[in-house]
Amino acid sequence: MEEVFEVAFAHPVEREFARVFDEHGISWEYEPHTFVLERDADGTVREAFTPDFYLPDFNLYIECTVMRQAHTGRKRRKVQKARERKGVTVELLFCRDFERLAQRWSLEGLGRAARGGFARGTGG
Amino acid sequence: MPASGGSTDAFDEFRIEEERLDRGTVVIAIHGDADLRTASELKDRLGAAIDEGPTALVLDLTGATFLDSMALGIFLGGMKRLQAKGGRFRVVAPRTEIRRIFEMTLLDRVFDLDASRQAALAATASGNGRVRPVG
Repeated sequence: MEEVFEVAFAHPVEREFARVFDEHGISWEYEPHTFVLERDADGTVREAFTPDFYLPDFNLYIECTVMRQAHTGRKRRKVQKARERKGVTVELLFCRDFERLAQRWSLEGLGRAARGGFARGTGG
Repeated sequence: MPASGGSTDAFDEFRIEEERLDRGTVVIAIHGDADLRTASELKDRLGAAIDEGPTALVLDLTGATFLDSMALGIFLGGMKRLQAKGGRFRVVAPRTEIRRIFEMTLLDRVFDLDASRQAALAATASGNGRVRPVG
């Protein structure tokens, strides 16, 4: 299991989510795998996808995004391609999902990070 | 006729009850803490129930007080095995703290969760839920 303080997260919401995993004893890895989704004829990688989290106990990937939903089409397509072409289980979390989790379970840090995320967005 | 079994000594809070209903439905009820210490028994009992080839399995966590990621992983593996055989797998999780762990790990999106055993059995009878293999 990685240590939350040793990882350079791309966005505060990812750090907060890792903290939540730690609090619940859930093993996680940050961006451990990259899936090549498209290659040119010469083999050059044209499109790749690196999900933010991998939960090894569940063989489950999680991609986080705090971009406005209207801007998430490209990410959705990548997730769908990864599911279809690589056969992996990937769950996509939007800002509203973080806010819902934060509100439901009183996770102030996660809620704060999610609310602050509109201006920045996350990679992937 | 319910059959029960469980660990002893320090882990006597943990126990598993099995009940076989009509039409190939098995109910497995977990009581106490399901964690590293009880994982082996949990895996064996769940695996044996699935080996029998039920058409539906209801995992009742009403009496569960704690789940760690190993227990969740065992549930997930069991669900995949049963679904690969065309069976249905539902989880009864009425307790807030148990529901929380499913939501935090996003497994509430993967499992079919119900608030009561009655609701789970009704769903299996009506054919609701996932039948495709996951992952």
